[in-house]
Amino acid sequence: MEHWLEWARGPLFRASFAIMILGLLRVLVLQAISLFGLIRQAKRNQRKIPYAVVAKASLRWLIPVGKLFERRAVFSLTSVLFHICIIVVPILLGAHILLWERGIGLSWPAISMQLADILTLGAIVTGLALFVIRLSVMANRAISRAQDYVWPLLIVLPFLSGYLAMHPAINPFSYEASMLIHVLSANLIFLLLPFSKLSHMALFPATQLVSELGWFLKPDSAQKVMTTLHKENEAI
Amino acid sequence: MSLRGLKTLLWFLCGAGLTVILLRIIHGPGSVVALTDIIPWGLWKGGGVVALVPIGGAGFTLAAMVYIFHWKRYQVLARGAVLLGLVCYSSVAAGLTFDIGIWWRIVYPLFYWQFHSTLFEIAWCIMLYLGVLAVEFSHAIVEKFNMPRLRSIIEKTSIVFVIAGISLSTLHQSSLGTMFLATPYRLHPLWHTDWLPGFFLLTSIGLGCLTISWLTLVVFRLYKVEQPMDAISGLGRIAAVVLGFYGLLKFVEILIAGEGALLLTLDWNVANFWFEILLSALIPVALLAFPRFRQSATAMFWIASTAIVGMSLNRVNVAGLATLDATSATYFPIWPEWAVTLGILSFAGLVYLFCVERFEVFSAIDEQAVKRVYASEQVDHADWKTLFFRIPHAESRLYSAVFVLAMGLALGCVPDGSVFGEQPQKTPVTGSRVVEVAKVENPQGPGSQFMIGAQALAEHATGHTDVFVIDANRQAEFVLFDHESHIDGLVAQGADCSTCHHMNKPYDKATGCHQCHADMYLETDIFNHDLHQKKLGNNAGCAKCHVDDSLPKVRKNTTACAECHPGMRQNDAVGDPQKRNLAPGYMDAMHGLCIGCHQERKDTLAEKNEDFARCTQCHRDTPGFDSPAWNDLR
Repeated sequence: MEHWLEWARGPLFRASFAIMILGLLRVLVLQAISLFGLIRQAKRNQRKIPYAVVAKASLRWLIPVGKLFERRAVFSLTSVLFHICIIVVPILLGAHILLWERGIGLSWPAISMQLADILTLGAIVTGLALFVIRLSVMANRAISRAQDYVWPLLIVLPFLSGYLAMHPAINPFSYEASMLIHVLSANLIFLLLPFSKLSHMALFPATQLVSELGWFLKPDSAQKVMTTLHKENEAI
Repeated sequence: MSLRGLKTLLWFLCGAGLTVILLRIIHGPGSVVALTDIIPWGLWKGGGVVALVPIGGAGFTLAAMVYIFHWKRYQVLARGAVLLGLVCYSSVAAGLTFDIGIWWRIVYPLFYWQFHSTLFEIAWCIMLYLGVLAVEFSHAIVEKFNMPRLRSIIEKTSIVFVIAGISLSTLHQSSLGTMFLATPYRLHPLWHTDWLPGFFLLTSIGLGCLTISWLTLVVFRLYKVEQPMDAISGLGRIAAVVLGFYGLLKFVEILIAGEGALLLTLDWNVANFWFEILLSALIPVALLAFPRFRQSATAMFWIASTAIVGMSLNRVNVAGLATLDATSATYFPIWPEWAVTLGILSFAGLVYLFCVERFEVFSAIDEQAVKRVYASEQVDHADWKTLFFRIPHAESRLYSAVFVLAMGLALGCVPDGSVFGEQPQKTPVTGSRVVEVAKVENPQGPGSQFMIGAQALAEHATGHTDVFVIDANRQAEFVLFDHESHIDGLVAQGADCSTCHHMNKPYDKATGCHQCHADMYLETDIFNHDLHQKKLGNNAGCAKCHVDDSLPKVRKNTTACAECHPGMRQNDAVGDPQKRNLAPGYMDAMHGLCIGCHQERKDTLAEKNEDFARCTQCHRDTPGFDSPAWNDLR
C-alpha cells in the first residue's frame, strides 16, 4: 500500500493536477472563442450591446448571497456553505501547504487546524445535505442526471478520508488506507473536473456573462423569453 | 486512418512533446535524455536533425525541376515540396534548439563567427535557406490574402530566391556530410569516407523525390482526392536513377578503400550496413525499375516508405549508431526523447495540413474538397462524445482535450528527476574492516606510521597491531584508524567510548558509524516510521508522538526520541539534537568528529604539534593530501 500511496501522490497527482489546470485553461479559451463569435455575430446584425449593464448584472450574480433568501433559502445557504468549505480547506490546509513547499518550494499562510477541522466537517455535512435535497425534492429529481447524484458524494469522499486520516483516534481504517482513498478520490476529481460540469469552477464568471449577454444578441430575445415563461408583464 | 484520427494522434504527440520540452528548458537536457558524455548525440540530433535535412531536400529538388528546368509535369507538386522543405527545416531548427546544452544560444552563430567550423557554415546555410523557403512559400499566402502589389514583387524576384535556395541546399546538404569527416576513429569504416559530402548531397536529391511523392500520396488520400500519379511515377524514375547511382558509387568507394572484405564478415555493424543499403537504395531501385510499380499508388507508397526509413537509418548511423562500436558504449533513446522528436514532427505535420487546408498548396485540394472531407466526419449529435466535444468548434474541443491529456500524462510518466531536477546520487557506505599492520615509531618525535601487506615485513617495524581501514565508499582511498590507541588516549584524558559513539542503537553498546551515517555524502533519516507505527499499535499509537493535534504531523512537531529512549543519546556535545534524527553524510560525520578533537588536542596536549591537526595526519599516502591547499580548504 505504501508504494501505491507514493504513486498516487507523486506521478498520478502530478498528471491529474496538470490536467485540471490546463483543462480549465482550455475551457476558458474555448468559452472566450464562443463569446467573441457571438459578439461578432451580434455586431453583424447591428445589435447594440450595453456592456455596462451586462457587466453590472454579471457582477451582481457573482455575489452568491445577493438573492440568497428569495427562494429555497435552505438549499441556497447549504450550497454556499458547501462551496466555501470545499474551496478553503484544500487550498489553505497547513499539511497541504507543507507538501507544496516540499515539492516546488512555494508556501502561503495556512488556516489553523481547528478551523480546518470545522470546515472539513462542514463540507461533509453540507455535501451530504445537498445529495439528500436533490434526492428528496421532486423538482430536483426531474432535472438531475446520474452524475448529479455522484458528484456530491465523490466530493465528500476526500474530505471524509482526510478527516479520518488526521484523527487516528476515531479512524477505523489504517492511516495508509485512508490516505490512499483521500489521494485517489481527489485525483479522480482533478481529472474529471475540466471535462464535466465541475468546470464551472473556472467558467462561472464567463457563463454568467454569456447568459447576461444573451438578452441582447437577438432582436426581442428578452420579450420572447418572457412570453415563453408567461411573465410578459414583469420587469426584465 | 481518417483525417480526424490522424490529427488527434498528432495533437496527442505534440502535447507529450511540449511537456518534455518545457522540463528540458527548466532542468536542462540531462534530465530527460539517456545521453552521456561518451554518446552526446542521440535521437534528437540523429533523428530530429541530421535525418530530417535530406527529407526536406524535396524543396530544392522540385524547385530546380520546375522553376529552372521547366519540367511542367511536376508543377502540381512544386508548392507542396517547398512547404515540405519549410516545415522540415523549421523542425530541424526547433530540434537543434532543444538539443544544444544552453538552448537560447542557438542564435550565437549570428554573432560569433567561426570560419573554420563546418557547423558554422551549416548553421548559416540553414538559417538563410529557411528564409528563402519562407519567401518561396509566401506566394501561396499573398495569393490567399489578395495582395496584388506584393504578389507582383514576389513573383518578379522569385527566380533569385529559387537559385539562392538551390545553391544553399547543395552547400549545406553536402557539408552535413563534411562534418562527419571529423570522426575517422569513431565512425565505422563502412560509412566513413571522404566521399561522404557527395553521398549526402546525392541521396538528398534521390530521397527528396520520394519524400514529396510519399507525402502527396498520403495527403491526397486523407482529403480523398485523386492522386497525381503521372508526376509521382516520373519522380519515381528520377529517384531510381539517382539512388541507383548512389548505390553503385557506395560499393565502388568501399572497394577502392579496400574494405570489400568487410562486407562479408559477420558483425553487427556489417549487418546494419546491409540492412541500410537494402532499404535505402537496392530494394527501392529494384522495385522502381518496373513501370507497373511506378504507376501504382500503393506500390509507390511502400517503396517511398522503405527508402525514407532506409535513408533516415543511414543518417542516424553516421550521426551515432555506427559509432557505438568504437566507443564501446550503449545508448537507446528513452521515451521522453521520442516524445520530443515525434512531438516536433507532429507539430510540423499539423502545420502542413493547416497550410494545405488554408492555402493553395495542391490545386486539387481546394475549399470544396476540404469541406467535403469534414462534412463526412461531422460529430453525431446523439453520440455521448458530444457531452465533451460538442459543436460549435467540435474539432478544437476534441484536439485541445487530447492535447491537455497528453501534457498531463507525460508529466505523470516522466521520472521525478525530470520534474524536480536531478537529485544527488546515493553513495551507500560499508563498515570499516580490521587489518593487522606493522607499526613503525617515528624516531624524530611523537606519532607512528602503519604499513600493510607486503610492506608489513619491513625491518623497521617495531610491532604489530590491529587497525580499522576506513574506506566506507570503497574508492581505494582509506584512513588507517588505530582504535586501540584512541581508547587508551581518551581514557587517559578522562573520556570514554561515548566521546565518539555518541548515539547507540537500542541494546547496543558502541554502534558503528556507518549504521546511521549510511550515505557517504547525503543525510540519512534514521527514524523508522513503519516500525514505530506497528510497535505502538497503529492508529492508537499516533498520539504518542504526534501529541499536539493542532499542529501538522511533521518531524519538528513530534515528541523527541530521547523522551522514550533516554539511553539512546550518549553524548549531547556531538551532533545537532535539533536535526531530529537526520544523520549527516558519513564524510561530514567523520570529519566533524575527528577534526574538532584533533584541533583541540593540538593546543592542549604538550606532545602534539601543528601536524596533528593537518589532513595528512589521517590521510597518509594519498596523492594531493599533503599540499597546503587541502589544509586551507579545511
